[in-house]
Amino acid sequence: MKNTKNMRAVFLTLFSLLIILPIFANAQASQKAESFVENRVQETLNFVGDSSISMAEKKAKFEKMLNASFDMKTVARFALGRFWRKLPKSDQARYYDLFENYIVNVYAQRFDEYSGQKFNVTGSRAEQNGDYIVFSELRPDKGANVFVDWRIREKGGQLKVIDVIVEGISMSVTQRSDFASVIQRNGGDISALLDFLDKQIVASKN
Amino acid sequence: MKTLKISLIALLLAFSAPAFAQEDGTASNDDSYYEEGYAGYYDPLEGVNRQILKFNNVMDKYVFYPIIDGYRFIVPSQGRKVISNFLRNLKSPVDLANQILQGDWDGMKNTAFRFTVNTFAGFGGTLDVAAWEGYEHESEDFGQTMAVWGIGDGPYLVIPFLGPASLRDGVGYGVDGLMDPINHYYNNIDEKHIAYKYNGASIFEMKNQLSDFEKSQKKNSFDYYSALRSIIYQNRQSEIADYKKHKSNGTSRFVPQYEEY
Repeated sequence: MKNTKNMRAVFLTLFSLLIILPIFANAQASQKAESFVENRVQETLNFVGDSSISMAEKKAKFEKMLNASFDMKTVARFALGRFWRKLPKSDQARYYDLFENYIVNVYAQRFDEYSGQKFNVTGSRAEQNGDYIVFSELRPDKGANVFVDWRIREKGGQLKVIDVIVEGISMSVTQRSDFASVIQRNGGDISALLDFLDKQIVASKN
Repeated sequence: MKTLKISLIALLLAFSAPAFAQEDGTASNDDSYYEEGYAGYYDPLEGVNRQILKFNNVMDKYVFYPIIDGYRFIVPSQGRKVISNFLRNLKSPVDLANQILQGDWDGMKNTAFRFTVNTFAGFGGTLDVAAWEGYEHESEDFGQTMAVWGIGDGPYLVIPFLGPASLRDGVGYGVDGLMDPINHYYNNIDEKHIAYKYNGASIFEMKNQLSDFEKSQKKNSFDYYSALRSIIYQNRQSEIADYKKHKSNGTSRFVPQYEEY
């Protein structure tokens, strides 16, 4: 009788540990994701807002940051959506390259818009598929806060950003429909999109 | 007479049913929008919509943006803030009515509190005092209410001058106008021109707030039409999920699905 009671206690403890441990581990991991976002964004804002650094240098730093903090291949594949499978293997490397260049140029045009807004991480949560969402806000001196959320995935033991969500609008989802429509409107020809990317990069360099 | 009315309503419902039946449960975290990107949207009028968007872009470039530039040049940013607060406060009864129809109790409390505080302590709504205390504005409209009731988007439309909306949301904006007590009041006292000016000012304010975003999107997308369509749908989804309500407390904010291939 006493034994069964003990056993029950042991079971209960083990059982509750089984439930609590993953939650605890999750909380710790999402803490890690929070400080990852906090640090990387702060570093980026520091050089973007530094008027003593030239535009070319900012672009180079930004590209370095992208490669270190974003899983650019996942982001690039996501942007192609269902067309990814139709992209010939021989074109993959070229597409990754064009995509990265394109992103750097699109965001470099926006560097000027940054005027010393304060950046704050406000929380995080673990998603069912294992991703983390880190919530943050940009606070300007005047006007409303801008809410920016980050989708973080662990890849080979390293945290990487795979999506940025501004005021509820996913940059990846928007890009995907933009890209898909270029392909669709050119009769399903993916190389049309590659040409577009090429042109856009050239145009933004001038 | 009565039967005529009923059969008219039945006819209307019959017509609208196939359009609205496209998708339901928009209030939930529905993946279907994100799956195909381009093809996932119900846009049977795309050809016409593209033409109207082209027309709207021309209007933006030669009419709306120059007016907005002038407005911003003449009225300093503090003044613009006052105007936008004032117009938004006037819309509170419509927000409240929609929250009642949605059964959104927290939202009702928020709107009622904001309206009282901002009207009295915020100099007739010109200052958003309530937001300083963390009671932030939540945008509500009858399109969202219908979405909460389970009515789907229906076809995507680009409305001349005003811009894009799904059929459901377009109807919703119309209903909001009918609900607005300010419109009722000035129509009743035969001062219709004041109601027109009020609605005109609201539309102008909306364009003013959208214009920066529109300009940067026009510059940075290959196909502005489809980028805009995706953004409109995403924005509506997060509004229906009351994204703003969860803004400040962080971890329950709505985030779009990430659907991979």
